[in-house]
Amino acid sequence: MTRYLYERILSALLTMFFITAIIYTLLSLIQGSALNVLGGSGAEMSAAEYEAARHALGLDLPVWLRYVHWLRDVLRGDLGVSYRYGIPVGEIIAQRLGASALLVGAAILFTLLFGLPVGVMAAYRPGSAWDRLSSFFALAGFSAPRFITCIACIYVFSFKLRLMPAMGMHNVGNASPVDLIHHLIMPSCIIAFGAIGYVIKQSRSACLDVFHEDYLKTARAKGLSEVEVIFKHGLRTALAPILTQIMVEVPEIVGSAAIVEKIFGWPGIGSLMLDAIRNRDMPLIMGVTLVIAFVVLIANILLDLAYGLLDPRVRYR
Amino acid sequence: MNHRGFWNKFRQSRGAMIGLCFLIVEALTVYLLPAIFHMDPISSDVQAGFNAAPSAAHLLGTDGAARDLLARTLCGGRVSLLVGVAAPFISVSIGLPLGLAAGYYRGVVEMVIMRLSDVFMSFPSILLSLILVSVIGPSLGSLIAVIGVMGWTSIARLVYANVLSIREKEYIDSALSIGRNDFEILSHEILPGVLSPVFVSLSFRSGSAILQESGLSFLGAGISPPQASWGGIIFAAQDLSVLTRMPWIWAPSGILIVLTVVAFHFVGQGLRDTLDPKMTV
Repeated sequence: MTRYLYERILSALLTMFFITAIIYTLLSLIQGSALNVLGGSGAEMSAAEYEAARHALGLDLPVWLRYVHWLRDVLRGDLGVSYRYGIPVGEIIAQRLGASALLVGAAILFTLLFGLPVGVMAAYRPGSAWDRLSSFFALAGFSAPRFITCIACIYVFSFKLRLMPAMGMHNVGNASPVDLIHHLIMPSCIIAFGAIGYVIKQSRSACLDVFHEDYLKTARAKGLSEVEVIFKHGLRTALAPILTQIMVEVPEIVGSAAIVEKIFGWPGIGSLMLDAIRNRDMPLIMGVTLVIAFVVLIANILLDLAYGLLDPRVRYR
Repeated sequence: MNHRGFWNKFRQSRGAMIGLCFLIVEALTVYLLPAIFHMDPISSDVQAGFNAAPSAAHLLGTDGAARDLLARTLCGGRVSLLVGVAAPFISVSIGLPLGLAAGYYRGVVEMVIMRLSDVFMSFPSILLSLILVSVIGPSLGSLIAVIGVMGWTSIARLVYANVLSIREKEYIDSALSIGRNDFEILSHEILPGVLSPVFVSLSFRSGSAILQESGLSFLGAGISPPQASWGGIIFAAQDLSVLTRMPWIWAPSGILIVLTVVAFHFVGQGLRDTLDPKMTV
């Protein structure tokens, strides 16, 4: 068990190393323009000034050496200074991480809260009206791009029905939790709507497999009620493949959160990343990359461990 | 299954036929209509005004630069369909050989390829695509390339999983025992077995390629103006007054994106049911 955990963490660290190395190399290919963005369109730089600025930013070193320096600084806890904002990347990210965690957390919660029961009930009566309705809903979820859902929802719920706020996390001067939840509902449901299709499909097929197992017959024969049979014995086993599905989707959930954050003006790291990419703000892009990669891999390890708790047959090797 | 048998079975699937007809009609419309009526998606009609509501002269209204939105929507459709058709072939041309190699040779090859696909899959593809597009610069060609390259993991994993099950079959042992070399076994015995799931997944990949293209264009990193694309047209809705007061600008493109993706999805489902109902793609 401990050995398994070490192996998982080691391979997670390797994956993080490769992601950051790939993105660092790609970004270094557009480095010339970083200076141009930094200089601003109006500012004229002489060739000597340009070289001096390149040297000051360390851009005259080979890519691999710069990456090694970046990695060394990261291990010391220093993510560098944003080209654009001139303040430490760590500070910028720390300010915004909470908002994203809240949004993505709520989205994953909604995905499970709606996706699981819908999928389980679809599997309970395959081919029923409910089954077909849920597969229609799933199809709508993965066919509508997030930005279109956002725009349509803002149009309908914020401007036609005037039920939901269209922008930000808070109304000005109102920091109450109720106000926050009111602002949170629409963006997080939109992210959940995009992810829910796969969860419905996965929980339906996982439950279809489990519902024919002998131990469910045993449970029924013991005289347990149908609800107990399905939720205590059936769903518990079916949860493992469903969690795998969520695990695979976490990166895509984070990606769609970035678009949703941008449209809703949600002050998280996703919209920060989009702006950083537009500004060619390399230290900031690398900082957010590191955070996203870290979160995704932690989620993977946690869900992996949750397997064992859910399905008593799982043994870690 | 021969072609006639395939077609007869495919025809039974109502959703797939509706999807296929929709795509054919859509392709004909976006390619022929602007040519027949000499529509101009690029010039401004200043007399009609900026962001004008639909009228007889401009059936879908005009955009923020007073360009005809009907012409732009139709030409945007060309971009989406082109990306949807071309990008999956790039994904297959990368993913198929890598998946075959990983599944057949196992060992180090398998580890390197599958770990690499883990790396790709553990980072949000939209962000990686944005970075790639900023490296090579936005254009139709680079969008197709980036979306195609980003799709290699799902094809490679699909092929890999299928190769793993095929290589345990007895006919592979037989081929080995009569002295066939690796290349012959891969191309004659294994490849035919993995082609039909790949063929089915092409249709699903088309749908997601269109979604990615529209997302990138919406973020301003895809097709750049004055060239039209659906995502680029909806880009205008980032302005709150366009979003709230001028739904005619973004609604048609938005609906068309969703319908096109659904159509590709139905065709994919029809192909899957025709070729092998038990297949998971």
